[in-house]
Amino acid sequence: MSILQNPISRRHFGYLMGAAALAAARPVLADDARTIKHLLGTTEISGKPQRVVALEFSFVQALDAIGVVPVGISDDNQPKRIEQLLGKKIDYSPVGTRLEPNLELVSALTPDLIIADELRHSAIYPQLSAIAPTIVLNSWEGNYPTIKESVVTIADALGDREKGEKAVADHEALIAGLVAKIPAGEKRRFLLAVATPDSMSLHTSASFTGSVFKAMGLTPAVESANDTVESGAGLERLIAVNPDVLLVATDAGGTVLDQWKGNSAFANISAVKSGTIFEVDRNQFSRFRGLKTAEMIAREILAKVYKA
Amino acid sequence: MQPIALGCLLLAALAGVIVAAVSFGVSELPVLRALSLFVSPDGSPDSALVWDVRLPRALLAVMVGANLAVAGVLIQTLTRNPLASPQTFGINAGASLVIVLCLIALPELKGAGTVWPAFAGAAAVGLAMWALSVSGAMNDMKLALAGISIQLVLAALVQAILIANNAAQDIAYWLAGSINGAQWEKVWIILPFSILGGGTALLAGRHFGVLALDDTTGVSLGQNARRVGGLAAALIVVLAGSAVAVSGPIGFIGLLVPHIIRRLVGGDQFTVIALSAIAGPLLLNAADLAGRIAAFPSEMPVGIVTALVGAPAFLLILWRQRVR
Repeated sequence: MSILQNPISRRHFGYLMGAAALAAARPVLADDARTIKHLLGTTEISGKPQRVVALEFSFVQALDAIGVVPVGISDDNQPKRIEQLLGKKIDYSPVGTRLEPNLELVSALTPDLIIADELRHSAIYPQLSAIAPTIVLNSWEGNYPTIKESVVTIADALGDREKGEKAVADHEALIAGLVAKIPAGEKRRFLLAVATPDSMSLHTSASFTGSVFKAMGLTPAVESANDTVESGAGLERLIAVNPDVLLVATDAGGTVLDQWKGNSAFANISAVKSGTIFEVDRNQFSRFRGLKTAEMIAREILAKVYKA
Repeated sequence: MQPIALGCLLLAALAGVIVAAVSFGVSELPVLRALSLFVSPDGSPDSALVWDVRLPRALLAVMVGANLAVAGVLIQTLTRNPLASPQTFGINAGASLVIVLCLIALPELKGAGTVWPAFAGAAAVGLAMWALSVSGAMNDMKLALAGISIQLVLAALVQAILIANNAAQDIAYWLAGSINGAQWEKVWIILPFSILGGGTALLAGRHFGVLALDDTTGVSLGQNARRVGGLAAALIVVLAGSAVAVSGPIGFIGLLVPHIIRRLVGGDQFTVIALSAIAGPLLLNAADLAGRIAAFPSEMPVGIVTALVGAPAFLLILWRQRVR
């Protein structure tokens, strides 16, 4: 993780100083100014930002939970994903990919708040801050508790902390209702594996889905303190993990799952033997993170595993 | 060293590495139990692991290693260039590019379906290189530079597609060169090409030996250089194309193995091809085993291991040649 964070180079230091100078040149802060603490420091925000740019999917869902439509989203040029993420069509401007947001498009939207991801956007934080007040949160590697906290932080940044707290409280009540349907004493080990054409990526207890499993009282099959995903897993690794319930996330198209299905060793995996292997949507289970996504995961597990 | 003695030595080492490859893995199966199951399968889940996961992987490495090594001998002979290999002359990259394009355009394509696109990509580059080599317009150095340029352009195109399209990022492991996804199905896909390509290369070894000399000598010895060169180019495409199709572009095997064998036993083409067909599998299986141990319980794609080990080894060879 730490290797991925750029040390502040001289150039970046210059940007930081520039951003600091800009901040200093602003008029005296209004009365309702708030100091939002985030992963790269603190950001002063006043009033109620109306033009928000979200650079990760989870932020879009958090904004939706608070009732705000972002003006710009780095949607990877796949507007259908945003529609699937929210379960409805919204009106926004695309600003490039999550990996490399187009700063000119972001700037052209004249945003008054930018929400960026720690892993992907820390390096461009100075440039983003020069465009608009920017808060940096952990989305890409965010687990369930982190994503819930982010909803409140984002609501706070928007000047309506209570709305965020209420959204989380409502969500937790809903999840509690769903979890109550899971039979007591569930001991099986659950695994979400993303299948690609050349291997599988195993999501650990530290991943978003893994921590949703834990919040539901289920046991993730791969325990890890920090590593969210174990990528490049071959069939032997999957056999070694031997999950009792296996959710395989796929996009449309051929993946290793099709090839492994015919293998006698695959048939010996606990989940395969007991018929508790299910194919799920990769967007919903792996790409998206958020309150709504957690609810969807809980509902789908109830429906598939417990027929409830 | 006597070729026969070296051949026996390599075969023994290959057998040892294959036994190690089926005995060792990320699951908790004890090495000795794996070994006994390898000798006498009992239909248990552990037995399935040894016979249906580890063995096809070891055998796939044998065939891919042999294909790449023999293709390397042929391409170095055909172009009379010690720097030539399926990787440096862009044949791997050609196959990769077409497979990446197919992944986006025809996502349903899988298994045996990827062999033909890989061939098409390998053949297009192979044909271009062959045309350049027989045209007479290029000396050996220019040909090597042309090959490297083609390789760089194709690799850049693959990169461009990876950045532009999310789906293509899913085959990062395959693109690094990996036999992680080995299945009996893949073994059956490459087997006929290995037998056909390797067998033909051995039988025609004597003719390829003449090809290594200059054209005039070849003609005065009664050889139709174009025809023999065409056969060599076709074999290179068959061997390298099928290898890339099942394992992704694995580098350095095709470059390194012929050099090592030539240094050990000298230049007889039949001998070099035969021994390379044993040393390639040995090197690839050893590299795959190392990649599995190095990143345990995860895995390092074998293509990265061959590059990490192959690059310094190649430099060493060049260095020792210079000192002589």
